[in-house]
Amino acid sequence: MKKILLLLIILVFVFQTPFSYAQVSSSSSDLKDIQQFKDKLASQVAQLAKKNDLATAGVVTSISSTALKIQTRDDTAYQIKIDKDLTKYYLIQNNQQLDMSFSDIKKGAYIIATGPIASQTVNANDIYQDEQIIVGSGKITEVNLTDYYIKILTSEKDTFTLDIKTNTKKNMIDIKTLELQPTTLSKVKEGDTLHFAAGKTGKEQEKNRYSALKILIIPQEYFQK
Amino acid sequence: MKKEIVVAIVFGVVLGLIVAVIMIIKLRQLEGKKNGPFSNEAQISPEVKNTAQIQQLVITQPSDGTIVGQNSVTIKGKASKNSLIVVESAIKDQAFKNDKGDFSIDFPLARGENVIDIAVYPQNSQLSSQKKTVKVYWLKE
Repeated sequence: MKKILLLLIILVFVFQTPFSYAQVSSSSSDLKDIQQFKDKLASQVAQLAKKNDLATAGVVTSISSTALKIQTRDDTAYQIKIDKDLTKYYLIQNNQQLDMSFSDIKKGAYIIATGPIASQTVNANDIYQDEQIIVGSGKITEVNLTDYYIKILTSEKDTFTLDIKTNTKKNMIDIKTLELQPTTLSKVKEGDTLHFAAGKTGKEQEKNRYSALKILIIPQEYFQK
Repeated sequence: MKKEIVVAIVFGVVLGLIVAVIMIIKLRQLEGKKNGPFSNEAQISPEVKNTAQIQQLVITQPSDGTIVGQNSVTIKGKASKNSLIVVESAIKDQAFKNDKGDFSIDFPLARGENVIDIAVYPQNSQLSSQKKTVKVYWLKE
């Protein structure tokens, strides 16, 4: 009887040992998981802190003595809280940063606010007034050589009319070398792809019609190679 | 044979079986963890191949809304191999072939807001183009 009991104890011990090892390695992997979770949490906190240092830009929709309201490009409304002693104001013009005052900001101006962001409210450290630029691309649907404009259809199915002025930079991609070559409107065809940049003043007469600052053409032949 | 001996033997065998079953389950779980979720090549290889074929445009740097203190920024990302990439802002256009899949370019900035469009035209013209826009602000000195 004693021998059998001894055998049973040995058997149980032999079976339990690797099981205990499995448990130990499992708990060490748990520790690793906890450490990974801690690292992830720390990086998330760092990211959030960094996020607070981002800029928010939009068109001024209302002005009060303590705050501005703006509407961003994606139609989100933000409140820009100002501190009369701390917030600084700058005008960006001709690639220069000039000092300005709060009273210079008018409704319809395009501003960039920097400072901590929480729940669509920015506690502004600095406010910059800048020119609003839009960039986009699409397929050319019309080239008008009489009135000098190009119509494009974007992948989002929006139509843009771009007025081509004498100072509009016009470039075309060389389909062999991919270098950008100056071009003229007469070389642009329907079906080509166009990239553009244009200034938005807010005083446009027609929806989605802008004076192009520059255009870049990808000839349709590039895609037929 | 005494009754106690039979009971002890049966108890021992049952206990051994239980321990063996638990061990097998635990060891399988551990093996699964070691090899990760993609150990079975036959199961995942077709999906991986598909993903490789339609590489989505990813911009890893800079984040949208980034503020910088200099007149250029490094744009890094991933796009399908041999695609045409066009990077455009108000002051600069750049076009290049994405030979490696990953790309990295230095791109000039104007003071203030820079809206940068990154468009990818895959080599296979049957696949649709992709586009991402990032806004980078050169504000700090």
